[in-house]
Amino acid sequence: MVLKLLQRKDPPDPFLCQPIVTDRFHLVNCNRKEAIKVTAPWRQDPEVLHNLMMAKTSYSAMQWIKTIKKPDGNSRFVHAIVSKEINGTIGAHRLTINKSGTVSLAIVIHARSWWGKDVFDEVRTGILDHFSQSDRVVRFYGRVLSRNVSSIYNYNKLGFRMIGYDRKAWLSPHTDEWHDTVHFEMLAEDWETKRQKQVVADAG
Amino acid sequence: MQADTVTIIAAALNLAPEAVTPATSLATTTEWDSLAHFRLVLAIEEQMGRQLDPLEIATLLDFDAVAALLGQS
Repeated sequence: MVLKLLQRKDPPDPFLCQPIVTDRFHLVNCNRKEAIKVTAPWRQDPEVLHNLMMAKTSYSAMQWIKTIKKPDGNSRFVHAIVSKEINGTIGAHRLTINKSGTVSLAIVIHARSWWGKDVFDEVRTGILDHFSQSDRVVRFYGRVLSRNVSSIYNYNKLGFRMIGYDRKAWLSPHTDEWHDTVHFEMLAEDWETKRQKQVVADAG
Repeated sequence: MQADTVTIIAAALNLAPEAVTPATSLATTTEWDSLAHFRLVLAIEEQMGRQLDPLEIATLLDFDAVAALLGQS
């Protein structure tokens, strides 16, 4: 029985588990313990919990441990965003891959001194560059609150396509008000084409 | 060009009005960063006297989109 349970778990993907490095950041692939540690600043941050559309207004340490799904290096990943400059973690990027090859994305920069410094753009570009090279990845997907103007800007800036929105899709535990959400997608092949065009343009 | 559109975009992006053209867009204009985008949404909402809906916010990508929205007010 134990052997069967162990066999059901997909092994880590050696390629996808490779470290990702951008100009200013190391994106460190976390195990569960590391993921809980790097996301700990989120659990009592109302703004972060709101934008992640979490069910509670704050989480105890034990509740957070139960909430953070275990990164497995195969279909669930948490990358710590570690600044080379300060050698510290300023946020984290979460993603899941489903059986159809759709990658769901979420990012939090909890160190507010880094807001407005194009962290989203650099980190997400590094993530998309890396994951789009995998045969398992077909499509990237993100869902944000309709009033999260910064995130909507960032998805548009990267070339994601808005594919729709939901009215009254999430009831905020902070305000007891309904919020609309917006959905974005980008095919992995479209991302690769876009990046190739950028390389050609930069070379020219 | 519509004066309101130029004025609002110029103020949000901290540009001189003469620097705003129909080609001004999120994709091509360096000054159109996330903070400028936020200022632009607020300015349009103030002008229109209502909150933008999700579709309007998500498609606010260039001069023409701003002009189209302000044309409704």
